[in-house]
Formats: sequence, structure tokens, C-alpha cells
Amino acid sequence: MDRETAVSGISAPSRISSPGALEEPRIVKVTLIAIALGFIGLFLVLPLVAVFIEAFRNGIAAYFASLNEPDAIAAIKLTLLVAAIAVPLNLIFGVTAAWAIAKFDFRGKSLLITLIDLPFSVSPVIAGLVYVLLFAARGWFGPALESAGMQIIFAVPGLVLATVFVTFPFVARELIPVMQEQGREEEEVAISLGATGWQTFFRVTLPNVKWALIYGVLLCNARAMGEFGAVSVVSGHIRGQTVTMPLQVEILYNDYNLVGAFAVASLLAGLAMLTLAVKTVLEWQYGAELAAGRRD
Amino acid sequence: MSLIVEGLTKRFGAHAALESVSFTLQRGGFLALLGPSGSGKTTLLRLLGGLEHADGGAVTYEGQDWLGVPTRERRAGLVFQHYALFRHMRVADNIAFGLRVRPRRERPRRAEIARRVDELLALVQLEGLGDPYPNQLSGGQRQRVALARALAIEPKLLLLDEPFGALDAKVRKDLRRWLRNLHDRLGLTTIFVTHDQEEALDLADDVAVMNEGRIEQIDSPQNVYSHPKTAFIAEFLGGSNRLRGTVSGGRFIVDGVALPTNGARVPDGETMAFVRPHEFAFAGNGEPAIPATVTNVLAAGSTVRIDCSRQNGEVVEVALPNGARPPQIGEHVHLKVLVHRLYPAQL
Repeated sequence: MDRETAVSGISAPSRISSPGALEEPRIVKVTLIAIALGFIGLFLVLPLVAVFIEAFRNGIAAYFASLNEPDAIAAIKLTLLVAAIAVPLNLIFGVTAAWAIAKFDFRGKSLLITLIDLPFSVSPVIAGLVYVLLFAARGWFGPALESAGMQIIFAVPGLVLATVFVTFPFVARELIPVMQEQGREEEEVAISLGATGWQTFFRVTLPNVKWALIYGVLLCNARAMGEFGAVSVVSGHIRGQTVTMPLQVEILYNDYNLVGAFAVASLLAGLAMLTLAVKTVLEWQYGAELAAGRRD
Repeated sequence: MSLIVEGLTKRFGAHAALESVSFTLQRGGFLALLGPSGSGKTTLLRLLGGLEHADGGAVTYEGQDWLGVPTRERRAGLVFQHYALFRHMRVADNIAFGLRVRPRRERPRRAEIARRVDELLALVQLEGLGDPYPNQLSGGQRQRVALARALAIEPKLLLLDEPFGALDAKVRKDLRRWLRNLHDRLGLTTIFVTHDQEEALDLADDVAVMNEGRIEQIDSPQNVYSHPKTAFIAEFLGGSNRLRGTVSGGRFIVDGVALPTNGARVPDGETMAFVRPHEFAFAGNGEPAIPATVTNVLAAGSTVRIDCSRQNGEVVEVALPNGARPPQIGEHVHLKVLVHRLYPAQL
């Protein structure tokens, strides 16, 4: 204790008397922080607050009434349905792709890594248009699908397809670096100890990447529920049938139903904040585990 | 009842990692695969462990076609340089893994597994350390956990890939004596890969020296060291100096000095002599000796290490027992060659 206070007693004045080369004058520091905070406040916090203020403008009763509309309920249900299909699909795809890329060497590996990123670089609207081109009544596969009695575009399958496309990279992108860093040796040992492929996967591989996986699924889910562009193109905006929450917000807004639009928007915003909160908690945990894993 | 490897071949693309490797290992034997990096020793180990597929050749173990046995049924205990412990499992769960993944009818009862784990922890001198996670242990402890995990499946073959490579010198030495004891006590059949010749010579019954995908010599440590079959081994082991000269008329001539060939059967012509640092001595008057100039003297340790520059500028390393008067830098000396090994020079 004595020693500590003595040391800090010495170092504190010396730091003031000889400011480091990287130490900025106080005024610069304050200005920079103010600009950063002001920017975040203006462009991020204010709109978020505005969403909730607008949603509750006519009171709590009006808020819940507008959420209780049949169209709003249908939109919420549809959004949950689409996410419930798209996220597991991308979970399976993401784990498979990450596994293949991290644990095996094969031709076309770098091409696969590039392709996984494609949905990030392509505008979602184009993704939607491509699906229309492929599956619409006059599209490439349209007639065949129609004769089989299947409708993809302007129906739920189209919404799922578009959402899967857009949220394709999230899980894989989270897993690949973690799996690559961990290498193959643990799996090799597991197999040599008599484990089957499935046992190795569920007892060794999956527990090793669980935080990255949960994190990827969260981001994937947030995007799946919030996607607008690609979904808008394939949806057809049939009220109560093919309208997801983001589309419902737009429809209500165009109808000058501001309270309704912002009420639905507040749900999406709430989801975003929840995702952020869970992500932050996970990062604590995940960070601590990563640090522990790397301590050699 | 032994491991018989015949003509084992492995290619990675155009590169031949193993070229027709053959050897026999008796049950209970302790074989070291020694060689520089890229010599194929790890590939050979991984083939035996079932982690790579052979492109050719055959392996028989206890009368069984070993390469035909699926990896998970081979019961080959693997230990890697960086331990490869299951990082999310406690030590006890790591060790129990091989027992728990068995099909239900072969799986021991829970209490039996716990008993086995305690036994193995005691065996590797980690009593009571079943609860921590691997990253809470030291390197030496982790490697012993990895060994206990491999021993849990009662391996037919213990395969160690540079098991002490990541440990510091003191721990490394202790652990290798301990490993040798364990091997003898449990009657294991062990193959281990190393690039550390001291480790290989100290630990193994037999040493296979590998170079460019081939086994150049497989022999007792003593024989490999004293009677290296090839120029590569002669240079690789013991930090040998290389002297290029000519053999003619039963003499080896280097720097204009004729040395006896000591009965070595080498054809006349360009010849390479390999001399370990302690196989030089300062010559008395009249003895045939190589003239050189002292360029550096390092007198710390049990020997004095002296760098001498020959007439052609090549530096040879000489080691003398500490206690003799060390020469001064710049001094002209005459080096007598006590022992040398001669090999025809390759073009």
C-alpha cells in the first residue's frame, strides 16, 4: 500500500511536467469528444428517441391499439416466420461452410470465401430482382413452378429466399476466423481417441465456437427481421399476407398513419437494442474466454 | 508381433513427402524419428496415426493390415507439440474423453471412468488436478494431461509429435526421462518425432534419421552417432565441420596436408570429411595438421569453443576441454584431426 502510493505520488507530477508526444492539449481532447458525442447524438440517439416519441404521441392506448390491428399482427407474425426459417437455414449453411473452409483444403476454397461475402457487396434490391427474374410467373423457372402449383414470388417462399440471401454471410463470417485459428488438431485427437464424426462435431468443434456462433446468429436474426430492400421487391405488398414489419412501416407511413408506422418501427428498434445488449454481454464473456484460450 | 512398414509413400501434389519408407519396430520398442523440418517425419507419424492416407506401401501391426483400420479404431494415442487439449473441458473430462465416446455397450460405467481418470492423473503426477481447465496449467502439466488422455484408451501405439518442443529446457529434460520410465513401466510401443538430436539419442532404443522423405539410417543411438551411414547424417549429428579434400593413394589431402584415411573405404577423388568440434586437437611439432587462424574464443561452459579460419577462409568450430590454455584471437594454430568420417563428394 505504502509503496503504491509512493509510486503514484512520484509518477503523477512527472506526467504533468513532461506531457508525452501523443498527449494533446485539453481543448483538442474536449473538442474531439464533443464532436463524436454530438454526431452520435444527432444521427443515432435522436432518431431512436424520435421513434418512441412519435409512437407514443397519442398515448399508450393508441400505441397498443395500432399494434393490435390485424395487418400489424400479420406483419409481426410473418416477420417472425421468415426469420424462423431463414436463420436456421443460414445457421446450418454457415456452420457447414465455416467447417469446410477452416478444416479442409480443397480447390475453389478462396472462391467460396469470396462468394460468401457477395451478399454484403450486392445491393439487396438487385438480389430481390434476381429472384423475381428466376421465379416470377414469366421468369426462368416460373412456368414450371406454376404448373407444379407453387408460387414463390409475391408469397412467403420468396420472402424467405430473399432474406436467406441477404443474411447469408453473418454466421459463416463469425465462425471462419475462430475455426481457422483453432486449427484441426483437437478434432484429430478426438477421432484418434475413438470419437465418431458427429461426436467430434458436437463435443469438440461446436463447444469451441459457441460464442462466435451465438453472436453470428444474433446478427443474422437482427438483419433477417429488419431487411427491407430485397424483401420489398419480392413481396408484392399484399396487405396481411406478404408484408413484413419493415414493409408495414412503409405502408403505414405512406398512409399518413404516423403513430401506426412508428409503433411498428418501435418494435424493430426495440429488437435492435435487445440484440445490441445481448451482443455486449456476450462480448464480455466471449472476450474473457478468448483471452483465456490464448494465454499460453 | 511388431510394426512392419513397407514402402510407405506419400505425396502432396508434386512434392514427395515420403518416398518408400520401410522399417520394423518391435512391440515395446521406443523409436525416434529424427530429421530436419520437411524431412517427412511428421507425415510418417500422421500416416501411422491415421490422420493422412498413404499413396502406396503397406503397414502391418500385430499381423493386421494397419492402414485398413479406420482411424478411430486404431487406438493410436496421439500427443502433439501444442498439446491440442480440448480447451472447453476440464482436465478430468479431457482424460475421460476417449472412454466416454465409446459405443454404449463398451463404455465403462460412470464410476469406473472416474476411477480410471484418478488413476491416470496419479500416473502423470497430477493428483487432484482434475478440475482446472487446460489454460490454467503450465506447459509441462498440459503435456502430461495430453499424455494421460492418450493413455486412457490403452493405446496399441503411442505417437508423439515433438512432444517437448514447446517446453523450456529444464522441464523438457525432466519430462523426457519421466516419459522413458513410463514407457518401460507400462510396456508401451512408442514412436516420437523430434528435430532435437540430443533428445532422440538420449531417449530412444532406435533412431531413424530422416532426410527428404527417406529414412537414411535406422539404428541404435550409439551406432547412428558413431557410424553414420551417409554424409547427411555425419553432418547433421554432432554439429560436424565439413572439410572438402581429395583422397588419393590411401591419404585424405586437405589444405595441402595429407591425413591418414584410417582404413575408410573411399574411392580416390573428391571427398568430404566430417569432423565434430571435439575431434580436433592442437598439433605438436611434426604431426600432419591443418594450419588455421583463431577468429573467436568462447571459454564459458565445460568446453572452450574456438572458431578457426582455414587458409581458404572457411571457419571450423573446435571444442577443447576447458582447463587447457585457450589460444588468443589472431593466433596461428595447427589443427590435428583425431577422428574423421569420409564420404565421396556428391556433385
